Amino acid sequence: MRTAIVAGILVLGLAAAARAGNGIGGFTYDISVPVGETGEFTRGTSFRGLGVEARWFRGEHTAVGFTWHWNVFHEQLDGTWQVKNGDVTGHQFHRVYSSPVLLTYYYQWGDARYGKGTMYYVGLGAGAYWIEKRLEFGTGVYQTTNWHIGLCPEVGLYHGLSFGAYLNLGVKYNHAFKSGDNTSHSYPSLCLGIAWVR
Amino acid sequence: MGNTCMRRSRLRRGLAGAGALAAVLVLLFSCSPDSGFNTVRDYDVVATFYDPEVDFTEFGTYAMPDTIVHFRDPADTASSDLSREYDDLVLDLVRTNLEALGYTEASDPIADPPDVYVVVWVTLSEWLANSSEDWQDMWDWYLPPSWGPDWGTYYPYPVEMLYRAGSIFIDMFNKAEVEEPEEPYIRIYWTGSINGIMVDTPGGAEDRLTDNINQAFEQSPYLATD
Repeated sequence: MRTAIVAGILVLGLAAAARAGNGIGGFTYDISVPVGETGEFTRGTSFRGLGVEARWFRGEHTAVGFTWHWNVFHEQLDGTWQVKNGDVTGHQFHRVYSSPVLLTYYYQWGDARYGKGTMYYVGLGAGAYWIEKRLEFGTGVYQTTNWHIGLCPEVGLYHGLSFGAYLNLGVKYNHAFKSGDNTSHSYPSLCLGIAWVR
Repeated sequence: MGNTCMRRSRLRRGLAGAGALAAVLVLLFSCSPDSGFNTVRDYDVVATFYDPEVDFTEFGTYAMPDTIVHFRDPADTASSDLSREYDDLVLDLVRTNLEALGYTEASDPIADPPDVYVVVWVTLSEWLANSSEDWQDMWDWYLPPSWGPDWGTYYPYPVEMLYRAGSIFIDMFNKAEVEEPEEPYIRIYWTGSINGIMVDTPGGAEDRLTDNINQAFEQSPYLATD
């Protein structure tokens, strides 16, 4: 089910990007570092992340759009883990699955038309983060799944490539606020992608 | 000439796009890490829970049945019974650990009732443990006065876990609540469990049982009687 939802969003994103007039859209590969309460639960850099991004130019220096990303954090631990009124010992997997769907606003400058030049941007995303936090041991799972409100400032650039596409290099700081019984989550991401202008 | 160049350019862009899409799809379907559990031992989980309102230092003596009861969900008709090859080992390990914590086994539990009872049981069915469960009359036969037909166990703390068939449970409770229960549930003061260990016993079973049962007591130092 989750895969179907993700694939559906991907297809919709592709379709939107393909039909967008006077805009830019593409994919990114994300490398993320969990910090804050996310980093306390699962440490280590995540190399499992990807995203779909599209934006439409709304003036000489501004654009609006959307992003969808999928980031996976996981860590294998051994030892004893303290729980309320007890302890659990064994191999454990700490995992966090994060899927932000954000509306974005950008200020951009430079020139990256027709596969040439470089365009720089700063932006802010706001929207919803679907986050699943799992502690797995043996056949047992403690799991919380929530929608969080979140913000994501970012900076980056598009650089024209020779074959008509654009290299996208961006740095984001994802922050999802606490929701229900799930903690807040934070992780900066380095996003490397390819994009096309229409 | 111009049209040919445009077609080539479109072709290049199309190929680049298809390549990028393929790469993204590969990433998408490989971005959820596998379980990482490769051996039977990787699945061993020792979980212990205790009632924070209980002062275990007040206890000194215990009684323990010489049998490990096998519990099966009445709705489960598929599971088979388990070997009792390791029952003596399990009971000896529990006994050794209790005595290391300062408990003395009651020599005559009927004439001189102990402070706590410790019972060891195994579930033959997969079992989602909640904070209270029916006891299924498992202990009717053990020591007068025994459990009533409608009694169950009560864990006054969260123990919601999915236990595989073959999981061992070691429960400790107060004799007073057995003899004169104020409610139809027996309050468990401490429980230790080892998930699925009695089924997955190919090779190294004795070592796994020893390590995991010892671990249950090692991570429960508050059980010490002094």
